[in-house]
Amino acid sequence: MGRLVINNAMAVNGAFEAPVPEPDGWLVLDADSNQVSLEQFLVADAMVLGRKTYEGLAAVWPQLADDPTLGLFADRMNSMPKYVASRTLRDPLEWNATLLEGDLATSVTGIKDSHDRTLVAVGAGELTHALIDMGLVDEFWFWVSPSLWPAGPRIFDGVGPVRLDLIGATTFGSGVVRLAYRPAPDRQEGTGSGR
Amino acid sequence: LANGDRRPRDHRRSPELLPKLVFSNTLGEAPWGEWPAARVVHGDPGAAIKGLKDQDGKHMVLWGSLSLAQELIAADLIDEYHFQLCPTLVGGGRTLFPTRESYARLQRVNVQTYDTGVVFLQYEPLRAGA
Repeated sequence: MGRLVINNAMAVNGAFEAPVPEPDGWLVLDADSNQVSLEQFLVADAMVLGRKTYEGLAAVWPQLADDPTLGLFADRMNSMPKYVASRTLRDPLEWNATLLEGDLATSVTGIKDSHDRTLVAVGAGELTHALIDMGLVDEFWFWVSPSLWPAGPRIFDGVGPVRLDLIGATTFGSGVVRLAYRPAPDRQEGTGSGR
Repeated sequence: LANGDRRPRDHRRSPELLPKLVFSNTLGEAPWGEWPAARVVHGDPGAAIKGLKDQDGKHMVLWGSLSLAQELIAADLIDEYHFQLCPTLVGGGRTLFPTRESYARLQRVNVQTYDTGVVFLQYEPLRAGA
């Protein structure tokens, strides 16, 4: 049985979408935290993406394959299997992606059963909200950059409350803090019933 | 400090005996039980805080007081942020920071974790030209 992890970068106030124009240093990417992030993806089995995040990432990462600093990361991002939730897309999908078909809870439970290790969900949109609401998320990995962007939307607006257990806190020289959580056993009212 | 992580051992430093300022345009007085009353400040909080920061003395701690905090944040009068991040996802409610088009860099000063799952995060604003 694999575990499903939501992995997200954000500002201290929970903003996760970059300001426009994007200021220098929005979401700090230092070499150390980048390495840890890469290792997470190297040992993961697959990514789980909503349609919008999938389209955004699939448009960017293939262009970075030869990038001197992000090339290794791009190799992993490009070669990893992906599962995409969408009501409009149809197989076959580009970028090593497979469509999650039918009922979301059933299909996500299915891929958790068929993988042994980690499935990393990236993004903070409709898909991740639904996964949290359905009680299918096993861990959260938050990368908190030392910045504030109060006008942006905040991560997981409308979600919860979900009680969490802190399972890790790592600081990086750049000021980034990685916080890892697991839903507490008594995590919320009405959990696991789907919707 | 009002963080709860450093309980003052010296009772002279306890919250009851620290001088307190209450910003209000309606209160006439601000009693504090059997302890010395808080001082009520009328008018522009930013100007009052600037005046106090110019004087000698130790740190001032802003405790709660969301609308006052937002006014002082917007006026760039906050020198340190001490957050106690509770282990709960709550996607709603009032937010600490004033919602305005402002992007700010911070410098992380300290991080501590507690058995309860609380993460204490301390930051300073990274001011342009600082």
